[in-house]
Amino acid sequence: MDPAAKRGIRRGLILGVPLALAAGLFAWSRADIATEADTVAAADFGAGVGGPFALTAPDGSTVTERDLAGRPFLIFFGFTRCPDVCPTTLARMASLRQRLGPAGEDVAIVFVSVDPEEDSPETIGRYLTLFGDDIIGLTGDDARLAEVKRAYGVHAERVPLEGGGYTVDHTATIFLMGRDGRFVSTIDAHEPDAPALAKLERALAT
Amino acid sequence: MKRFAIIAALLASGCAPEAEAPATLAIGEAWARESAPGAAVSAGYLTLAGGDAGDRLIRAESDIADRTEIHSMTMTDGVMRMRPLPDGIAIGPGETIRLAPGGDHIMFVDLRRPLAAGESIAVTLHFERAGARAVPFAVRPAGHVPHHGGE
Repeated sequence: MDPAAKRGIRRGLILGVPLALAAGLFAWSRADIATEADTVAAADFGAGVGGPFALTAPDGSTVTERDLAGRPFLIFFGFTRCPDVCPTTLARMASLRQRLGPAGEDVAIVFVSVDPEEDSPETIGRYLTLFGDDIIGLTGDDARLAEVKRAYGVHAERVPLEGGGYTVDHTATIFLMGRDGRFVSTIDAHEPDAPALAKLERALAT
Repeated sequence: MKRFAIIAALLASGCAPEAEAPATLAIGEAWARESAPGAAVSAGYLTLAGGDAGDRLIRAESDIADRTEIHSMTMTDGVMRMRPLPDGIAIGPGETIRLAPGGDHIMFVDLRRPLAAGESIAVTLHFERAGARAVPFAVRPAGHVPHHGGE
């Protein structure tokens, strides 16, 4: 990589991280509205969402945003002991991709576990077999996870439950990123399939 | 023949609201999500119709997991929060409550074995008025979307 490109990435980081934070805060303050109309959500998150990350795959290899370059991708944050939203969303992402037909194969699906205490890379790999074999499951140590959560404006907090056990409160938004790694849109949990598919087609067309 | 069709249609329309609002507690469409190999948790969903008097689901139990809990799932500011419901779920008189993906659910915590699509698991639901009810939950694939789902 030439020095100019490196500088560009560094500048992107310096500008991108505070932008992502600001976008996240803004989106958070506007989330009620964002649920109503995704065009607002897209504007709220803006171009600041996304950025570099380096996380571990089930086979132990390191996956970075550069490994996804050239492919649009859906990225979702969760944990394997999540009984409802995570499997529902993972199955939905797989189903949306399938409905795009052969063109959809270009879309990568990324699941980031924000529960490093419980979810080893192997656990995540086993868990994802439930949703088809082409979902990229990632996690990392606290620092690596903090980096990716910051980039996407994701909140995740481990909460102990009365009577034992715990849960993880976490952002359950799907982020759709373009081939260039830039933010395209969010896909909301309760959003009908038609607009979600239209967004994916838009990302594929870029 | 035409008259028969009219009478049948009338009977059917007369019956439909009856099916929607039964006189006593009615439980339907109970299903659980298949689990991944080694997965610790899964969720169950169902429809509860309160009947004339209403009722409250207070507790659930099953042999397939160490604990079977009733959970709420709320989405606030895009953040998912899941919590046990210590008082269970109230079903008002004449009310029908649908537990569906993306909402309140029965949570199977620390599965004793994986749940395979196609099998049926035995769950006992305890109600304030109706008492204990044995309810088979059909295990469905991970991507199952119920017809009356939350979408």
